[in-house]
Amino acid sequence: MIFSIRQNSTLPILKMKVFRDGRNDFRRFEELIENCVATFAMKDEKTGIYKVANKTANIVLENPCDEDGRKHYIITYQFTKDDTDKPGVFLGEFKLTLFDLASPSNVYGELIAPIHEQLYIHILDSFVKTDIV
Amino acid sequence: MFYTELDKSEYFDIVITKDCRDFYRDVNECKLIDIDVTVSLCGSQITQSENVPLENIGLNGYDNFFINNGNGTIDPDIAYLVESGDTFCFHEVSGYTGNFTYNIDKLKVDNGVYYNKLDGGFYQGFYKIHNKNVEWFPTRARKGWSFNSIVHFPMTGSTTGTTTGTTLNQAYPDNSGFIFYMGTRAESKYANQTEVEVQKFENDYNIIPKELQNLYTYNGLISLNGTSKYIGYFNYYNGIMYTGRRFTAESQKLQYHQEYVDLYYNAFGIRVTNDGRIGYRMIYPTDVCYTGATQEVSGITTSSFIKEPTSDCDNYDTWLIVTKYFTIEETYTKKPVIDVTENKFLHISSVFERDFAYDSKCALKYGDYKKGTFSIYINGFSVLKKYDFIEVIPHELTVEDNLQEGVPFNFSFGGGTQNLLDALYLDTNKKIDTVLEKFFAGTFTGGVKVFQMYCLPLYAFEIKKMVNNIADYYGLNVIKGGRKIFIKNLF
Repeated sequence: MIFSIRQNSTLPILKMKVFRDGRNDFRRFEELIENCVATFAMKDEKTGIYKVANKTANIVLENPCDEDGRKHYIITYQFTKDDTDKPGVFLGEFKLTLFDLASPSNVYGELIAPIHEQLYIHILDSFVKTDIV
Repeated sequence: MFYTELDKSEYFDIVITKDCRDFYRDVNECKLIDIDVTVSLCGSQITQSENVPLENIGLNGYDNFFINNGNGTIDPDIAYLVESGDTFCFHEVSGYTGNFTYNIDKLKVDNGVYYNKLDGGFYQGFYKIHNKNVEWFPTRARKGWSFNSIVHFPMTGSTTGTTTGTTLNQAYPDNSGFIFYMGTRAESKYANQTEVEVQKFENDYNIIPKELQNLYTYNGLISLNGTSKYIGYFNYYNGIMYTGRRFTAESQKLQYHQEYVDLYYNAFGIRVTNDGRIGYRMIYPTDVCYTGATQEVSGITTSSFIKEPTSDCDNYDTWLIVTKYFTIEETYTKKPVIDVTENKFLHISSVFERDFAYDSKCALKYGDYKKGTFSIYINGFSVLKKYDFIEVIPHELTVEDNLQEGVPFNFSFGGGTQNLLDALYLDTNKKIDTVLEKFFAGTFTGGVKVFQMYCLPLYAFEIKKMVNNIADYYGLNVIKGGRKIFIKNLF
């Protein structure tokens, strides 16, 4: 998976859709993801140096105005200018820390995603320079 | 022959999406009530469109101090005008008899933030008047509702600090800890009227007694001498119900026998127990198909709750009192989730989400599907989730409109409701067997700050976002990203 963004820009927002295996218990899944903390990390593919170190990511509903459907979730991370000030190829990972509803201070488990594919973030060189004053 | 298969029951992954939406909905238009009790006791998005007089507020208004009785005198001519432009308002609860104290220690400060410490007192207010053009919050929203609050701990338990005098918590120790109540604030004290009351209605309040109405009952709500149901013609004579088509010497006095319908779906409170569990208590009619044992209404107390078997997967325990007419349910988290001894603010939310939305006013009024999911969140974290929750549907009492002004459709903040415990009776010899105060007369013994009501079910992520926005101001413990994720002492 490749996500591309220009140097020194904050948009587009990185949006990752959460998909589930068809047979899981959706209530259990909802309980877990509701009590979840998502963080995002990004490091340089070549040097291994972290560019984004475990910053907070957001989880939102895909269709917040859909009142009758099953809930679908999106994990988002909006880059800052500092995050994108260096062009190159980076690896991105989200870490989801899931807390147990029955005992909310206990960690149920930690999931690092994406699992199946590597998330490559291409920060492309840019020559536009504007400052907001 | 057998084979194995990969269990993917808890498997999920993420992929990039190019969905361009912002995944945001504006919930502010549904934030119908928003009150910071340290600033004002009023605040709702809907404002009153016209003047509406409540000419009989004196019949019930003294009971919870909506009408201040000052030196104890009753003014039969007192009226209250809901003025154009008015919003929903709380008032400090007290009572008529003077037997209880309801102290509130105002404008206490923690880390530069004001709150009001409850030492036996609490806040209450009506959000609708039945059959009058007064409504600041719907009795039933399309999909559900949400309650948000900022409250302050520690709790002082059943005692209330330096307060002198008897508090509701001392009278009913198992009811302490209510932070929110919704429904009728009292049962009807005028369902059966005595001769003294009928006389006073006519002389002091210009309420003419019902006369010569020839009615027939078939729904079992009228009983003979308060025991057996009466089915047949009845009539009013001097405002009192009697058997027969018209009053004769042989007519027997009838009693209005409401079978507690006033309480069905009409009493719901969120409560923090002294050991830090959180949950709710509510009343709904006993399932008509229920065939198990029942308890007598007259004998039930908070000691009568019987624990229900729950699954290990459930994060709550449920207790029931099942009577022939109604069931009282209380459900709490299995484990304590709040350290009630710590000095701190907490953001506590509760959300009811019906399994599906009703689309029309007619369906909202008559739709009888009442199941949904009820959730409680502390600092944005879900701590209780009850599926198959029976919807709370506040409704009017089965008594004439002018005898129930301000009684049903109430919210309480920092307490439950005291029912008729501190009420004015026009006939001082009147005795009423009531239920509500035994299970809801109690108050939160911490502090209160913010009360909000939404006419939609908030999603967990929306609550989290709200909490994160105010976390620094109130010093709320929330989990943030970073190299280390701190999860100790969250609540």
